[in-house]
Amino acid sequence: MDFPVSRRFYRMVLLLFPTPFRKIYGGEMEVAFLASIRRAGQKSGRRGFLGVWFFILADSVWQGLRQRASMLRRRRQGSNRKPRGQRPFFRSMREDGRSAARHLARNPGFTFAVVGTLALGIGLNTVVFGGVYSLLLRPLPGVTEPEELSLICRSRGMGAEFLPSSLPLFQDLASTADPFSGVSGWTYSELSVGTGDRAERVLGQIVSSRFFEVLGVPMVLGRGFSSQGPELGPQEQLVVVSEGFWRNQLGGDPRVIGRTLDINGSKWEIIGVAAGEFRGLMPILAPALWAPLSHHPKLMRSDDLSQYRENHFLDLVARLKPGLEPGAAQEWLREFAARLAEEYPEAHKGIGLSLIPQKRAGLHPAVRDTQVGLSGVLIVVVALLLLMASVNVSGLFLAKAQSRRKELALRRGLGASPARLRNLLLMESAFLALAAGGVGVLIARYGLAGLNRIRLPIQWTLNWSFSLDWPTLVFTSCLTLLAGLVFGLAPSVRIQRLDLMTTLKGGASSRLGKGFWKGRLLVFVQVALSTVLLVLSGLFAKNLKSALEIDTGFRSDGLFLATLDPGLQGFSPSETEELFVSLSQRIENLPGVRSVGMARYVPLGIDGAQRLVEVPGYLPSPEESMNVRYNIVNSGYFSSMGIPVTSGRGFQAADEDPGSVAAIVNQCFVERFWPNESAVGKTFSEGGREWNIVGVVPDGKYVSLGETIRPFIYFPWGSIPSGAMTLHVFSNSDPTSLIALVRNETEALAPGMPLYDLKTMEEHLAFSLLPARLGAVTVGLFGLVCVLLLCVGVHGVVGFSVAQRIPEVGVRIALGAGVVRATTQIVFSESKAAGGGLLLGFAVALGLSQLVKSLLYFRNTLDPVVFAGSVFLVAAVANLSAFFPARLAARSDPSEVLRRE
Amino acid sequence: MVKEFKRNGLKPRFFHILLSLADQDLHGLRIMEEVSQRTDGEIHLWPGVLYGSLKHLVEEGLIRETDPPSDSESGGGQPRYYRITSSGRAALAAEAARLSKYVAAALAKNLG
Repeated sequence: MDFPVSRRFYRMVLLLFPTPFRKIYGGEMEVAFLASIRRAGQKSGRRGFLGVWFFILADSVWQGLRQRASMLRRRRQGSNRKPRGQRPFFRSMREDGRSAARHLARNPGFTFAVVGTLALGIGLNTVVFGGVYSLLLRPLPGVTEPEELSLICRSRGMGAEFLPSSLPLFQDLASTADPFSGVSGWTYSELSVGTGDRAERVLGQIVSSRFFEVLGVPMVLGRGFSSQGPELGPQEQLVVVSEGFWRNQLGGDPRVIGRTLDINGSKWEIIGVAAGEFRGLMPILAPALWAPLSHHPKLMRSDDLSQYRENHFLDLVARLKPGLEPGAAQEWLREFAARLAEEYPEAHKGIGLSLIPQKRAGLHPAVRDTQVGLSGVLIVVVALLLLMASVNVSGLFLAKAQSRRKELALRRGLGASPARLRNLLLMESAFLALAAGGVGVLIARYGLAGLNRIRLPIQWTLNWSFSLDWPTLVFTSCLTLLAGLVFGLAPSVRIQRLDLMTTLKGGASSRLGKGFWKGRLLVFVQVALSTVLLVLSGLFAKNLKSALEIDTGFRSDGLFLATLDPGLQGFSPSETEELFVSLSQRIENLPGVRSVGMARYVPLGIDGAQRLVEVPGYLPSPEESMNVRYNIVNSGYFSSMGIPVTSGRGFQAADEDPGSVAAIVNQCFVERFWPNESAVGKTFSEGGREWNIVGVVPDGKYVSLGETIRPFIYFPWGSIPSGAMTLHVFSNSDPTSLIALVRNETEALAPGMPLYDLKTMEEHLAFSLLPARLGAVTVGLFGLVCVLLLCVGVHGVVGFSVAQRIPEVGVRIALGAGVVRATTQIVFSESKAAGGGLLLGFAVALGLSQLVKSLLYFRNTLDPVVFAGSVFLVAAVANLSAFFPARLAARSDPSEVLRRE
Repeated sequence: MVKEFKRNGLKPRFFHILLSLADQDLHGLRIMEEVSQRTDGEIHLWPGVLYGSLKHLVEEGLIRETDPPSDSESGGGQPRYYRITSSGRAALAAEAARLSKYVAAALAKNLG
């Protein structure tokens, strides 16, 4: 191992040491560094590697400073070496530190503004880096040597990559895979699990026998599946539970091994509890338990798939033999795929197998590119924000230094060297950066905890597990150091140009900076950016409001949803039907309930399906899709949902029959196939059956709020097998009060039957509102941060420039200009840059508002309120930020100012 | 200088470097490895500390640079070899005596 990147980076770190030292020892230090890094890598892998970097950085910063200090000392003292023990460098550091702390404490407003601005920048960066680290970079938790693990994915060409594999493919691989010390297959499955008297639906993983062995998962109790027997797992019904499930559902019982669980209606013996940090290969979606693949027909309610080469549902993971290069394994897989293609041409022709190292898989290899892209954009955006914050703070710092120049000149006059003054300013910026880093870490901690609490309105809870890992903390420390350097360096360099005599006399030439056009440019850019972001925030906020007002075509208030899947509990189709009918009747008789409907899918959710239809007499164009979305509903559905039947009739109990051919379609369906005609009585065919349209309903929203209207079919419940159904209960009373009542009724009819996704329709619609909410919150947040930065930036730049113009103001006032006039004059002349930025921002926002049109739920993006409001707000913020320093200048005593001049 | 070390004690890193050089001439990387081995990894001299200390010890006259031994293996270019000087040896002996006095005191109290 040569570590070329580390080596290059270390060479840069070595720049911290003075050149003579580096010339003598640099080469040997590099060798020693490589030896340290190699040793740590061998001892504790990637963790050790990062740890060494931490120590190396600390060592280099500290020793580099020491060597530089001792060199300076020697240079200053010539050959006369001072006796040991006085250490002037450290003494002066201590004094500078004390003086800097005093100065900052005396200026709480300045300290607060700087720390707040930087902390916001550092905090946002840490949150984003922490998120990216958790989702993309963090090694798979709870497994041994995660860097040896790889995923094996099937690819079909034409961009179809990262596909799951079939059971026979897995068995072939597992029995012959030379380059791997083990291959295992796994898939998710919904399971109905009974613990005692109640059953609940949980997410399980169905895994091959060597799953725990290949991954090296430690067990809290018991063992994993035996690797000695058949590859698919034991014949007995055995199960391993997760530590979370063991603690929460099984009460953390230490004698749990040997107990049985009721899964999908039969008994399974618990043989192990997997250690808590292991949450499967996709930790974001953690399973509650693991069951062997040998029982997949029972667990997945499918046929025996061990002979089907076309049924792909297994994800494969393999551990490379130690020391083997991934390239060799990939080559082996290529030959293996070619052999399979010869042996089973119909199933394997044109199919490739690829090896993806687990550490590069992210959430899932299929979404990795998107994930990397999005993370990259976010990182760049927040890094720019931090840069802007640093530059703004630098402006503030410079303004401060300008107003302090007399004090600094006095120090210089009393014998402080320019280097000493520079150190003093650097010390102040170091304190501020440290404080900002600390507050930033706090912001990040709460920010990440907040992100962890995000619950997407989907069936399963996602385990984000965002946390402040120490790589994130190292990142923040580097960021803090960098920010401190960026904003501290500029003023401390300028201070060296200070002309001692003229400053003490108070002369005009003592100004720190001339041609401060860079500051104006900064104001210009920030005002433009703030205007754009504020306009966008306004548009997205309006978008959220419009989304809330969109007519979905069905009622959302007073509706309560509950899903049940009797099939999972081993109910036969006829028992299922009977249960649904009697349950609907019993719920309808509850107090306050007005009607009960049932449907296979809830509109605007994540699931839904399409069916291919043919309409007699209609010839589709070659590009036209004849797939139409559908739902399976019962006779009570339309009245519960408040969907009127505009022509024909709704479903009746008589339609709920396996041989039924009645169908209801929406208006769009009618207009597409029989424009300007009545559709009632017309027919279409689907699935080999001819359906008769008995009614028409108005168009609604089915998949997303922003969709254009599309054709839709309702089939009667019972005519098509449907599995799980969702009850739509419409009541007068508060829907949430119905939960207990509905549970009781279900329990009375089918003891132990799990009811899931209990929620109101309004809660369900939160999912479809998610994009609008996310857009409004993200853009709004960036807008807010930008305006905050704008305040600091303008205040700094104007403050600096006004401090230089105090003599001119003094002359104006002495010549009779009032304070108000002088103030407005300053504000006016300083706000030219802001005005330009406002114009540019307005123009860019106009263009962007047309670009984002397709993302929004309303058409007229040229909203005068949003545009005028944003422009007014930015102008007000910019002018107010300029007003305060201007007023301060205008109030200074003219005689005093003129005397100094 | 040696007197001063006698009064204040040697810093542990100086002590360990001198100890490594007590019976053989070594270059920086070998000193780092020797110290790490002897202390079971408890003391690891990172490059900055190591070469900073070597420079300091040379300046204080406790060690000096020397020609590489004829049987030396090269470890990254031409590493500098160091040899302990007589004042270095004296400082090392004084420090060892100082430490052993404390150890003896501890043993006398039956601390094992």
